Amino acid sequence: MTRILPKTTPDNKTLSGVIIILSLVLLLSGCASSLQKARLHLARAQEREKSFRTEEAIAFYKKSLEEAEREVRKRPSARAYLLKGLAEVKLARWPEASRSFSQAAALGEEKAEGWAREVSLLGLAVSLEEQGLSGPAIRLYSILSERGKFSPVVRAALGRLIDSQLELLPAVAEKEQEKIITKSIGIVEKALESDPACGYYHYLLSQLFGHRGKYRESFEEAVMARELGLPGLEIHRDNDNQIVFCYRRLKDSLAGEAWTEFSRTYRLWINKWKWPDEETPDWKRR
Amino acid sequence: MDEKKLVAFLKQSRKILVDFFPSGSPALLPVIFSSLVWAVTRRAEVKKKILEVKVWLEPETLKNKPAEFVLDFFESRPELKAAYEEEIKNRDFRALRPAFRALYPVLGLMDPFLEKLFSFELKNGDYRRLVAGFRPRLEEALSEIQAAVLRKNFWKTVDQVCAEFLKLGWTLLTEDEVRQLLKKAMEKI
Repeated sequence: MTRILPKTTPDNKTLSGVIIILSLVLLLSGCASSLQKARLHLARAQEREKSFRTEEAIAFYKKSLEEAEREVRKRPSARAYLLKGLAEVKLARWPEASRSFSQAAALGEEKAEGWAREVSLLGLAVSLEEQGLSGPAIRLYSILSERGKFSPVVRAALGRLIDSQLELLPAVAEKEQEKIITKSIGIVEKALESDPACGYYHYLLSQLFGHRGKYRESFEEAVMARELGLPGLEIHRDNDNQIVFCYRRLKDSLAGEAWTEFSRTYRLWINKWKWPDEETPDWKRR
Repeated sequence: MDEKKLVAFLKQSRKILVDFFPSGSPALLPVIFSSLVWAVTRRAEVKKKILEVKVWLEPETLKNKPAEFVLDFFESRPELKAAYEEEIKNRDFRALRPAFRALYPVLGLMDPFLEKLFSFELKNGDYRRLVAGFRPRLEEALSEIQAAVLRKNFWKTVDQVCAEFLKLGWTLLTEDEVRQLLKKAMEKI
């Protein structure tokens, strides 16, 4: 025999209330957790970035982005878009980042407006350069690298500015080449004054000293870059190749005490990096 | 590592991923090869690395190297020194620089995607052919990857393939050892 329950009893009311409250709590905690997770992953990424654990940092930026995207889908807010944009910037997804910052600004996040502008200007400069309009692109890179406030944009713009300057070298006379390199070194050194622990700036400086034939200085800057950490695998490898290149050039040019002193220093570093020999970085190990 | 097991695994991977690409796509095997190399060396990085294939062509690494660096790149590799003997002798940078732009990412930076994409030319030491076909072949492969990426479950499938690959046990091998074993096994699929 089936026991028929009355439609409403005090127990049922309580139960319904508890279920509603629980559902609300679960719903709200679900909504909040994506934002919290995005923040947490972003903080972890930044912490790893500061200690030069680039790979782990990137993995956390990706996790942060996934959570921020989830949050934006569920409950769009200025904070969620800002977090999304920050993660996108770190993953070099410029157009997406610009859109996210614009959304954040539209929803009341003041600083996002300036970031959105800088990110979109960088995107514009890249696209101008791709379409062969290198003049305006260089001007934009120059403005962003000098006056930009958002460090990821400033670094990317500076790298592109230096590369575009170096591109001019083969077509100009030696005196003009020297001028361009000196000017470029000045630009990077100025950037280093405000961000001396940026491995990427040391990498740029190492490359510029290489252009000038100053191999000892180039080697020292490349070592600094390696020790401080570089933003990508290709740059890391390119920097290692620069170290080997400097070693070969110095081997040809130094003699006596100078060579003994350099080769002793060089061996200390490559032992630290676990290179099998002077001309083989660890990732080229056979 | 049992070679038969590896060959069977690669055949299975190709079967799983082939539907994401057009028939006869030049991008399929480079995607598998580079995903597996990156899965071993940088576990969390597969997706980023595949999308980053064009990184060398776009941001942050400086493309413009001094003439001495370019020359050193050719002279320090016997195979290139032989292939570009005349240009090196004459310091013909009009020919050496464009060749460097194509060869440096493959041989200097050892990009596994490019290494597999141009495996035929590399195996035959046909560097001039690699240089001539670099831009169009890469653009074709990248556009096919962009299309594959948009399809549902592509990343999930790549991740599954990588996870299965890691289960085969690669932790004690260096990147170069993994490359060599994969290259050998890929010739048999």
